[in-house]
Amino acid sequence: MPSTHDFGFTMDTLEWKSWAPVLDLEKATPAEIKVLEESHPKAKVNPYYLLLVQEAEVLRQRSKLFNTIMYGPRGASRAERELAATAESKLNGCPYCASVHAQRYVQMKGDADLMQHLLDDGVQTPMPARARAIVDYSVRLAATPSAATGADIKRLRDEGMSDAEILDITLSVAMFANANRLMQTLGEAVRP
Amino acid sequence: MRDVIDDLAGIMPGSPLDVLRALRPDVRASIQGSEVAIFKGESGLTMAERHAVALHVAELNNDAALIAHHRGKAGDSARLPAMLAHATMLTETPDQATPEAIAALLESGLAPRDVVMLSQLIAHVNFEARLLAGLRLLEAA
Repeated sequence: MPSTHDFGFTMDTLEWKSWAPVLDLEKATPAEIKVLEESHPKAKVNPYYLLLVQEAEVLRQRSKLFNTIMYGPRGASRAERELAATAESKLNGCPYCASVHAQRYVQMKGDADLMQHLLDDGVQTPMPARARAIVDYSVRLAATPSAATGADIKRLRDEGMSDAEILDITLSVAMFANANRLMQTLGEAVRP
Repeated sequence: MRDVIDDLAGIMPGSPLDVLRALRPDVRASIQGSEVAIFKGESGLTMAERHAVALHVAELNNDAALIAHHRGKAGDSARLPAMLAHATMLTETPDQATPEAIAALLESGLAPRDVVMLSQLIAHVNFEARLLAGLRLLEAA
């Protein structure tokens, strides 16, 4: 049976093609333009956002949620939020999400070799104990229904994570339970 | 401000989880904003259809609080079975997505914006289920 995993996983920049009609930017209302501009720097030329903006208020709220979870100050490091997001994207089979967030992880001074192995070999690839604890918690919380347990929380605390950091990793996993499902069911990754 | 997650997780004002969540006020505001936009906004999907799809996603995630939140407001329609089948695929096997699944929803009479609303709704309830699961673990540990 074909799967969205079949495309393969890469840190190269990918494009995305919508399977449903998107908004024609020339027909966008000022309110829709504003939501696009608040959502992402390139949203006005990105078919994903031009699709989602057809429910503008839903996109506006979701973009606020996404941006504060991934880029908000303090708490878990941005690299560790991106690690959780990329591990889940690999697990669920969203090559587009994985490529974007693998790149961000490496930009945030994450370990490029670790990320390449995660994309090539999967979430079980060997990694240092703290990253291992984050990835294990992320993939168990990502399952339907969640398979995460108190032992996962204990391991994160034993690795020195505060509850504020664990909440941020939890939010990143929850956000990518959302993001993967939109990206991989409303369209597909395309090589430029 | 409190949000729907505080209500569903039974987070009391001043409790450790309330204090922890207060570190991210924008998260609370935009979760509540999403909840209102998805379940109370004007849409080609009826309120009863939206809650029925949310109830189904809550059941697939085995989340009793989310199930109770939607059960009383869910209702049936002729096109609901197709929406529930789409919700099952998105929730359990999103890697089985195909362009044909989207084409079928459009052919069944959903407008493109209705497909967006349906997908956002399913994704939102999946978000809530993971956040609730994580918060309960943090509270118990």
